[in-house]
Amino acid sequence: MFSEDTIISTITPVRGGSVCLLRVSGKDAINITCKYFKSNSLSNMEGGRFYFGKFVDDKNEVVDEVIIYVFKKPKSYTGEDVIEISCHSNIFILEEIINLYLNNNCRIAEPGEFTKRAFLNNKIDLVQAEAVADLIASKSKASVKNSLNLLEGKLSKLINSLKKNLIDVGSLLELELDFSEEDLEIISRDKFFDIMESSISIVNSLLDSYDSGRELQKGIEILIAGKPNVGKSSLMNSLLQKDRVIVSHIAGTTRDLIHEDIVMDDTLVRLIDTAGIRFTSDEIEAEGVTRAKKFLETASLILLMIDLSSEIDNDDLDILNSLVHKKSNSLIIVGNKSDKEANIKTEEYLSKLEIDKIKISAKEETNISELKRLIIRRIKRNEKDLSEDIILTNKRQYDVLNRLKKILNDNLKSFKSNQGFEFIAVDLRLAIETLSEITGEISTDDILNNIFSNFCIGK
Amino acid sequence: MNNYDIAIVGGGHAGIEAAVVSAKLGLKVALISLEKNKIGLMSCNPAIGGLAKGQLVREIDALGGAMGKIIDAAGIHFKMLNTSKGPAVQSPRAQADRLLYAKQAQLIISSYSNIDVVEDMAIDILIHSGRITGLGLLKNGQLKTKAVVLTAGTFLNGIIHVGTNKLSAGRAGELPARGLTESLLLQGFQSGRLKTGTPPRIHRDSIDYSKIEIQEPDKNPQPFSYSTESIKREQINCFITYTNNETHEILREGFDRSPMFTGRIQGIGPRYCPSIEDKIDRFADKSRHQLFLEPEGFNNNEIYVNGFSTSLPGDIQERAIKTVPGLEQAKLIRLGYAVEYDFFPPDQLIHTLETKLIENLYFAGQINGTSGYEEAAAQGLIAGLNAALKIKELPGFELKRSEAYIGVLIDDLINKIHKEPYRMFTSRAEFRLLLRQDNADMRLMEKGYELGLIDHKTYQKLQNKKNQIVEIKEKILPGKLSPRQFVDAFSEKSNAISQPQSIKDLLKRPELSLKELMTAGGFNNGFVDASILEVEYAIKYEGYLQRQNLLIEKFNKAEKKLIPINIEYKNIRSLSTEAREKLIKIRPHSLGQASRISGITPADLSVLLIYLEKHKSEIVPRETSI
Ligand SMILES: Nc1nc2c(ncn2[C@@H]2O[C@H](COP(=O)(O)OP(=O)(O)OP(=O)(O)O)[C@@H](O)[C@H]2O)c(=O)[nH]1
Ligand SMILES: [Mg+2]
Repeated sequence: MFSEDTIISTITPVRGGSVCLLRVSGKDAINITCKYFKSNSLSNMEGGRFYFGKFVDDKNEVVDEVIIYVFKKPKSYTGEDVIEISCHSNIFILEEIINLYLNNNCRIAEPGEFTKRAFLNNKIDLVQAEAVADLIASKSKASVKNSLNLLEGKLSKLINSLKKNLIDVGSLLELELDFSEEDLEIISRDKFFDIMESSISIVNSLLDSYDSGRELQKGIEILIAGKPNVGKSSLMNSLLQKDRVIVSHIAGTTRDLIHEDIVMDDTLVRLIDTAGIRFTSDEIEAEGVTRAKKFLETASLILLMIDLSSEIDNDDLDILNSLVHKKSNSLIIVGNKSDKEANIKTEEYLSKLEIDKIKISAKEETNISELKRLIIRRIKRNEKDLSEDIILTNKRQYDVLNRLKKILNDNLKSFKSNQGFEFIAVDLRLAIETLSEITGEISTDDILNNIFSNFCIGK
Repeated sequence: MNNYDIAIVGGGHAGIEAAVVSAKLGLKVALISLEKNKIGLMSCNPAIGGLAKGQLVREIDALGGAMGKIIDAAGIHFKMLNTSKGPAVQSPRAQADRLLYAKQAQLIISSYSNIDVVEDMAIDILIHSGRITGLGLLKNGQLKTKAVVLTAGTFLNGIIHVGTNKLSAGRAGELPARGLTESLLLQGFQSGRLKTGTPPRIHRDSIDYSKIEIQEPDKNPQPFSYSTESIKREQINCFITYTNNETHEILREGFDRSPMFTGRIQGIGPRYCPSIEDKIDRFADKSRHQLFLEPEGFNNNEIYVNGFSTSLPGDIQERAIKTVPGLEQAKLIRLGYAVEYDFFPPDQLIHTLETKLIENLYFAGQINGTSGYEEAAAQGLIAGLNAALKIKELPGFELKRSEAYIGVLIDDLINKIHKEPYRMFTSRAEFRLLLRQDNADMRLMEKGYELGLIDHKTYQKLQNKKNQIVEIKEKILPGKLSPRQFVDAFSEKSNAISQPQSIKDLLKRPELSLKELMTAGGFNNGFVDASILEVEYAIKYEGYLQRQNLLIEKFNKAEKKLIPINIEYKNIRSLSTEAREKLIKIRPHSLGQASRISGITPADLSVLLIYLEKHKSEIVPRETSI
């Protein structure tokens, strides 16, 4: 809490359609920005003015066109070097930009932290200070609630088993150090390796699950799925009102995920076109299929396309079966090619399904606006509050887990190099402190309690 | 009755340290004990030290305390623990001759002409305008004093349980102390009940030694005190044996008469020191439990059956113990028992161990809910020292968590919630790597000397060590070993070198020790092991030590953000209710301390920080030695 590190956060609400402001404050704010901001105008960042340019990622690919405001200390809101970035209010863009900063020794600001810094640097007056305190108190309550919300289900199970693992390792270490005189079995280093390795794999799967988006509340992702050649890319193009994706009569045209963001009724939506799902010997196509399947698990809404003009087959049924466990409000069956003569068997089969369905023709663009309305109704029902808190809470957890991963790997290395337990315990303490940023305090007493309840201690 | 500067209630390990330290500072001390010849008696296990506790004893000694010197004179079985591990987690332990220990303690007390031992019982505290003025004694009436250190151990309303029998007593055969708790409650103190236990003692001639394992003491016993040259006393063996299923079955027969299981004992016992009935109940699948048979002295027939603490009925104790190999014919001299006693939750104290409610009243030892002689002695030292300093109008003495286990102990006591008797563990010390038993002198003795608690000769030893450390660092470490010298000495265990290399570089190899390298290079002229170890540790673990030091810096920064005494927590609206209550109760002196109070969140700290900055100008900074 007494650190002077660099922090980032959104400072306007994240809503579809408009512009959003990000603030970076601290000693590396300008450095990091220079790394990713490309502008035709001046290359040296002068204070008190703004620059128009492109924000690029590590591969030099453009993330967004942005306006950057430079404030040099002490002439800034916080009194530190500050960069404010005005970018499109698109959750995906915001995340990418924030991530670039996080990868460069920056962290997500705590609730009220900009204002707190402003206060501590004498930038705001005493009356405002009281308000800051209120803000911090209320915001952190909200964000705790938020993280708890986000920690439902599978995720919280993983976090808890991670916590248990680390406490177990701590207990085994301390057992050796503090209770070596007891008549206890000696624990082999292998046991430690096992727990450490399982912890690292938990962290990895947590990071994966954040990556894959569902838990991250990434915003709304709409996946267009179906076997090859049913017209997925055609639908994508007609929803986008442009020829974004190659359409051809050759089955297996789309090989990778192709996504495009559009605003539908004020809500930002990411449309994803996928490779047709089928068994294939083509390696590239197969990889596309695997990716598409992974997205089936996490997408907010799936538009499952079926060709109404041909007889429903096993490929169709396979996909359908893999989706029946999904909540009914995250699936719409889109019968395509309604301009052609309908296949009786397919029609009959579909009519028996108790899932929302709609008939369209992607080619002729019939019923597309009807489909759009259906989609909007769905996403409004599903829409979680896209407030900045959620992204940031998520990003914070992600950030913590990334740090944790590195610490755990170091830890495992020290175990393997036969380092003394008292030294490994120092690293483990760091790991536990890091995890407690998500779980709330984990103390030495938790470790001692674990020892007392699992081992017969005491003469 | 005479006037005293300081009255110390209780002649246990805390009381002794409190008396000695205040006597060293030249004050007139009354040591109030029920019986003179019970001063320094070890009521439980006749041993000093152990993991983490050994560090405490070394620290007490580096501050001029008595415990190290007493055990060095009375120890009959010294053992350095954890020798297979690094120096930071090694600890000395010694078995004591109980009678010699008490005699030695009494000898030290009587060597101070300014300590009067008063055989009496304190039953009341006398207070004038929030400050202690004296004690009411059972036999001698009123005793006037400027300060009181209360170290009543397990004597406050002590009740001993053996099976269904219940007896008011402080420990076996001694009276409990009555009235004191009640008079403290009247002043607004809160009290609770704790429980501890002790095993039966058996006659040493009734043991079949052919059936039990021998545990030998160290060949080269290491003294606890920095002023002790060497341990001269003859050393004796301890023994190990085990319980078995038959033992457990018999013990189970007594469960329906167990004061613990039938709810007659309300006090909470320590989980790290459970009774044997607790162990077999909670770990039912364990088929045996280890027992240490520890002689209580040379001319003492009693053997302490460590690991068999129990409050089961006498007949059960006797039958059960006879199923243990080697103890078939055991003659019980004393039964095991559980004792329940009053304690005062230590969040009622500040870092000097002075009570928040009454000025110049200090609490130390088991009365604060700790267990163990060493924890008690450490508190006795700090409480006595601070009482004396206060009377002399000198600033108080506190130790930081980064400086000493004593600092960790007291900081934990006053900030954390304790559900069971508190015992020191090395894992409680976040800066464990720096708080070694062998460097307590480097950490603390300078402070002890400045306070006038360390004699000149011992201090000179520290200066010598420091000079040697500098010399080794400057002259020896850059010294080089030739490939020839290296091969001659280490061909067996380390890869050869092709160029001459400095000792400092070679020391990075885990398999080589500084002492060996110095010998191989012909550099070892007259350096003591302690100096060599200090340098070796600093070089070998440089990375970790640097990281601990960084953490200490961060820690100190928070410790330096002081919270004024007159802060009104109820005016800080944004604090959570729980945080507000805690802060009002504990009254932390710094933001760092506040962060360690159970239940205070980072958000609460931010709120507090902002409030403090805002009201910077209006507040009275507090005096502090930190
Ligand atoms: N008649 C008719 N043809 C359509 C319709 N929609 C798509 N098609 C045709 O079907 C063929 C496949 O269309 P795509 O959009 O490439 O199909 P896809 O599902 O993306 O195929 P893959 O990427 O190979 O999996 C093309 O020749 C389209 O012109 C439709 O509504 N009616
Ligand atoms: Mg396609």
